Amino acid sequence: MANLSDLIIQHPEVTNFDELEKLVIKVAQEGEIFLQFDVKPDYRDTPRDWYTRLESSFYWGQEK
Amino acid sequence: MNISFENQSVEPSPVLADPFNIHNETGYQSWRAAKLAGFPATLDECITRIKDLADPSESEAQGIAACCRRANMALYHCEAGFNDERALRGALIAFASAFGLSTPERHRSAGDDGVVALQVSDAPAQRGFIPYTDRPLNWHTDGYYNDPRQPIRSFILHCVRPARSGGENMLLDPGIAYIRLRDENPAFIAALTHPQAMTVPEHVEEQGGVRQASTGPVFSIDPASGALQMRYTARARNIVWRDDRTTRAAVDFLNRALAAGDPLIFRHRLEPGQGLICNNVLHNRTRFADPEGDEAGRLILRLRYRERIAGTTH
Repeated sequence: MANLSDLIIQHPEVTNFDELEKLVIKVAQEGEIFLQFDVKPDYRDTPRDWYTRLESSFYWGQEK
Repeated sequence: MNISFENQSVEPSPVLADPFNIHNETGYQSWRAAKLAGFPATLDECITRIKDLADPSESEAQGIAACCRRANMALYHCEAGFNDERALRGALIAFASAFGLSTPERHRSAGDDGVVALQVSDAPAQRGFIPYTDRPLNWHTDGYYNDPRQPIRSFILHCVRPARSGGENMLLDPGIAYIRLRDENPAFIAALTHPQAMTVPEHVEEQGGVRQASTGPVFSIDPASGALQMRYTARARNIVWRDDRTTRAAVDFLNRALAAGDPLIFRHRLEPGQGLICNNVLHNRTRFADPEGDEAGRLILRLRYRERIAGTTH
């Protein structure tokens, strides 16, 4: 199981929420089965519904 | 000598496996009680005399590792002399390898052997950096500006020559800092484990070199060992903290606790032949004064490693 916090640390090139969403999709496509959203990502463009959006991105990536 | 620390490993019970999870209060309280009960009352309890720095005996090495298990740090004292600094550097590298430290940081000020000479310097690459001046160094862990994926997990400071006066270190086990913060408010831990808690902005040097910005947590868990590790500086300038009320309160609490002087902070001034080996503990340094004239000034040799000290993780 991966943690979102680890994902953020491992990918310092990600500097905004849109890029993080793409990374979450990529991680799911690469075979990660669970992703724990253990922290709220802190970017200038982090939306209020960040959890729902990242969760949707992750499941969408798994299904692609 | 190859020294086995295998018999020193401690297998945690499943319920206590992750005391650093803020939802695991039982595990934390158990770890906390054991940590404080075993913590040395003074640094004098953690000094090991060594006959041959390049080849510590098993009992000497076990003594050092035992201190590091309790406080993440130990002092050693080796009275044997060395013909020259090169021989001493070689002995220090061999000493480090006896504790499983084999991957040195590739520091720009290090020689080919990975050893950095900390002394007052006006060399272009060191000019302006406080470690190479006689000015006081604020509380920090080594390599706090590194990419969090490349942390410094341990370091050795070996004293060749002390200053004429000053140059004392204060030392604090990150585990104690963690306990103070968590006891005050568990939300402080949540804030300081956030992956974007602390950012060191990009630094452009006079010679044109660039050190990339680095963003990461203050507290994290070393994936290889499960040990707590810390990345921190008390400096006020050129540090960007996550813009969050709890983060600011946590940093303020920690800075005040460090400035006030926790009873478990150790103070020590390294004497010639003495050294500190540690799992990157919090430390600072007081201002010092070198002798006037041609007499050589304070010289500390520093070795930093990617590994933790073998056999020191509970």
